[in-house]
Amino acid sequence: MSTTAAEMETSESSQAEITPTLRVSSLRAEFRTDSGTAIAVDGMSYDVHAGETLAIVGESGSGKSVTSLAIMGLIPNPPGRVTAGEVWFENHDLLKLSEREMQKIRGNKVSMIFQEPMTSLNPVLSIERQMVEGIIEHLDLSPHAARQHALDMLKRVHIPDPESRLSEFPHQLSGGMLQRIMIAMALSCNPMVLLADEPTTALDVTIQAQILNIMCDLRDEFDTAIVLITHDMGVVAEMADRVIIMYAGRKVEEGTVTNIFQNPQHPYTRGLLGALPKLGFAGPVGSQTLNEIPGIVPALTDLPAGCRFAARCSYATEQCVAQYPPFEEKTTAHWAACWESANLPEGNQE
Amino acid sequence: MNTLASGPLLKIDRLSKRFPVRGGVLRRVVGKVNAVDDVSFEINRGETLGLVGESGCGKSTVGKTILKLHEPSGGAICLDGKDISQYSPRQMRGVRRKLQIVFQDPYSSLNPRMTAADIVGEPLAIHGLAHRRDQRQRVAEMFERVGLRPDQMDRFPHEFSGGQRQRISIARALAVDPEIIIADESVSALDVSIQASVINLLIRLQQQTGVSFLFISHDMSVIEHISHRVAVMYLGRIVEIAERSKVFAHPLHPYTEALLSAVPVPDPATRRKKRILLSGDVPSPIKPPPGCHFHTRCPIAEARCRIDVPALREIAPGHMAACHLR
Repeated sequence: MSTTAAEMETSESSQAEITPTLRVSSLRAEFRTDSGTAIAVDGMSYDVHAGETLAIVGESGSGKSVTSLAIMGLIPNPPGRVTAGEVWFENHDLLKLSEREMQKIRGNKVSMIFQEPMTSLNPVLSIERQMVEGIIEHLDLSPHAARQHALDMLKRVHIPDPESRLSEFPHQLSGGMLQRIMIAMALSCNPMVLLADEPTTALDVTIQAQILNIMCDLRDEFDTAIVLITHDMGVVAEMADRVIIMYAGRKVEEGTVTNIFQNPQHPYTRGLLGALPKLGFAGPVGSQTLNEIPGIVPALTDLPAGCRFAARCSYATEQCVAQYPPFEEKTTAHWAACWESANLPEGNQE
Repeated sequence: MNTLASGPLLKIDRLSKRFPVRGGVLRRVVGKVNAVDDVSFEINRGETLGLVGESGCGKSTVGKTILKLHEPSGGAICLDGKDISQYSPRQMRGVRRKLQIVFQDPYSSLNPRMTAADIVGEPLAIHGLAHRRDQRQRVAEMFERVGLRPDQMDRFPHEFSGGQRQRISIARALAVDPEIIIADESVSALDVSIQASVINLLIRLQQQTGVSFLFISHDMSVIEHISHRVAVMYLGRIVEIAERSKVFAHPLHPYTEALLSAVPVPDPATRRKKRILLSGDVPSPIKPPPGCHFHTRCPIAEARCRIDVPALREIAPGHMAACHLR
């Protein structure tokens, strides 16, 4: 490994002495499109440790999902391609593994949950077939033992009557039930890393609360490292230990959940916090205006040379437009890529 | 406005909508779903009623039935004091100008082959509200009002971002000077920063024009921000309805309490507060539980909740809830 961004960051932090479970460094992913090459992820780096939840936050097109797909080796090629970077897991660079070697890790030691439980399961196979297949493959159990293991996992995620659920097909189950089954499947091989891409976005809020609880319990029980990809700052505040904010393919801020919410150093993070309607708002309707972030995300095929947020930022200077700001430590264990972070006004939001 | 301004603008009285459930090879009707079951509420001029509930609770069906995109199975829909529930499609045409809708998905609700100007201008032409030349003028006004640049009028929907498309939908609804706009999850598909600007826009438009909103959403925070009054639905029925501050600060129905408690709060300092965790899923609307529909998940349910349907009654002044135990 050379001196990557992630390495430099962690060597200065308190976690330097502990080896991270997963280390992503300087990852770059491109997609060929009709209007040119879109750089979906541009120099993404992060570490995640056992028993920790790292939240990656960003709006549509920020590259948060592509990062996880790249880690899992699931970027469709063509049109996509990982053009640079390393993904270190158990002394292997996952990006250098063959498809066969990757299959041993995927769904076993590194697992993923997707947003749409309906479309991530095979509609013509029973839940049992789909769960047991992976368990037999990865844990080398007999079919009978694998079935027992699947039952145990379903009980763990609080699925009522798991015995009969096993023989059912995806269309017979509700979205919340399917997402619990996805979690049971993802955790059935006791993964060291769980990449959860918007795991509760498609679910109702009472079901979301159940699923988030289950994820917390399982993380604490198995010491899994969770990478939680979401756009929901509420979910982040409930779940995360550390947070990364992404914008247009790059990391713009990283810190502990308390730092990010109480002392954000990037105007985009402040803008996001100000844009949220907050429960408990009691004034007359219309007495409080939500913060708007003017403009739209730049096209990934035509990125500006300077800060990618500059065109929408009320603090932008000539320097911001001309030069991309370095991702640097602003306060202890709190990084941001902003030339103006020292000059931002008091408060935690716009 | 007209002379009936004293009464409510829209009064829904015991509205119900049943859908047949078909099954088997012959697609025979094997049952029915009470998607909307005896729903009553009023919306006053210049007011926003927030209609909140989880997927499958019937909130969108309420909106579509009011517009008569679904034929109501029972009950009355009184707009300006006139019951439109039995109106023929021809009669409805005269009423549609007053009742407009903005859908959730700004991608599928705009015709990709029409320019933005034609999309916004079409209702003007249909209702004979503007001549060709005036129409462009009026569309340009609407563009400005919703924060779009009039010089982009001749572009096609795909040339706009999701937030801009939702503004086009709002401009289309607004062009005919409606009295009420039904906003069905209109901000749910948008990114937070864009969602904020559309919410601000809706509130501003209401202040400028006095339009009423039936704002349908699953998002409690958005509902609290935008609504004057709030109705909570569960499996086709309204379980609680009151002024916003009453519902949010002093919820009376255990379901409303659980919904509020489940919302993740964007502040790590309040983490790990005691939540009311509901067990299980929303039951199937095809076979809703007897008695109070919520009793299967309710933390305080008693024997009679499993038998008797609780009536929606005034439990505190101006605060209605359907619960035996409150």
